[in-house]
Amino acid sequence: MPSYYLFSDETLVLRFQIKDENNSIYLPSEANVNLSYQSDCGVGEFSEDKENKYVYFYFKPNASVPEVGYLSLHLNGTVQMGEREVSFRDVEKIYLLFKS
Amino acid sequence: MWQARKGTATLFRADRRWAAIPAVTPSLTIEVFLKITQESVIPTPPLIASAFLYHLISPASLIEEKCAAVSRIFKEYSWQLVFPFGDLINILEEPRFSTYDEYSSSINYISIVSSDISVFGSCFSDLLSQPLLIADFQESSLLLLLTYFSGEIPGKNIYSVLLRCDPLTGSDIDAFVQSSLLFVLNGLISRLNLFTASFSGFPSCEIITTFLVSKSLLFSGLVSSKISHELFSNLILFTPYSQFLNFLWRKSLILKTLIEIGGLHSLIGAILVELGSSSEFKKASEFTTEILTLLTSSIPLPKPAIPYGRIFFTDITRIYKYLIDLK
Repeated sequence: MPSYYLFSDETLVLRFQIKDENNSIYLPSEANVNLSYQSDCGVGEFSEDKENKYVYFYFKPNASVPEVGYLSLHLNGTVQMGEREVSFRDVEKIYLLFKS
Repeated sequence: MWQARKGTATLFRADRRWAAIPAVTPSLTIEVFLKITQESVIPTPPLIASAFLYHLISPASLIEEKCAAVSRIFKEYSWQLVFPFGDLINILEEPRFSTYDEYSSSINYISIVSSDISVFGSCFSDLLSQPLLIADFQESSLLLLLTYFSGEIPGKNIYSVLLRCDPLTGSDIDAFVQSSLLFVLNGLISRLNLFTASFSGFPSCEIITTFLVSKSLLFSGLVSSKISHELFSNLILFTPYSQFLNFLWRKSLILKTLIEIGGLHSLIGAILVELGSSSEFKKASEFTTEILTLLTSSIPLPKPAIPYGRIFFTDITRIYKYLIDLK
């Protein structure tokens, strides 16, 4: 479970990829994958790099932040396989350690 | 010693490492249901002729804003076309109409003597020889018609080349005559959407049906003059020339020519290949999707790749906004 030190006025930028077990890379906009996040200390947004198949997440802490906060990234996908609908999901929780 | 300094966009070494890894592009799959029907791919001269007559009086033309603008052009075109057309039409003496199949009946009552079909080639050659006319017409349409009616069809499978080419310009006409399909594939089939509407049962079909089967007309021998009269007295009803030619292109000429050259399966295969590599064939995607839809009676839909196993976040990397100084 990763954790990052962060200034309270700093924007955290994360870059990641979404893969399957065959090492294929997916972009949310192209693969029926929804991304969302939860946090107790700020707001963020996702952005895709279609060319390089990366997803970026920009996170801005609130004006008042706790000493330790968290950020969790959620992935939900649904794929129709014949008559069967298969759901995929994953969660990645990240701790944020704020420095004054 | 590494020291982080705030305020720059320099990447951390780990980020550079990840950036150096080439991304893997997931494959695109196409789902197509093959429902090939004979009538959708093998047009006949009588069908073309019938479609022409049917199209002339389609009420759809009433809502076409450009109708007036093209009427003059269409008038000239009609003269050129109808004149030889009348001599080649044989109207059967015994009408065999059924009230529930008027359109098909109109096809039955029109036949073009196949041995004389080359006459149409000279008709379009004449049109092409008139500079003022060509300036208004879609000269590519005429060239294609000329190619079709003269029977000079490129004899090699050039699908891949066709799908990549840019539309030709006026200076490329000579090249186009040598391989007319280049033009066809890139420029004109993109407006395929009118085809279905053309055969969706407009009530105006009754007009031409009645016109053709009336006994006075059948035995008068004045088919050509009568049609000409109708053309000129109802110009406002005419489907614009470009729309009509697009129809011919879409329905008959393109498909027939392509299929004759390479076969239906080859065409579909080429289209699927084209759709599967969209980055290389972006300009042709719209056309190929439409023509594949027509050939297969189904809409090709890009399908996202099916994940193997599970999908998950990976390679989460922080992009540091710190300058990394090595001291």
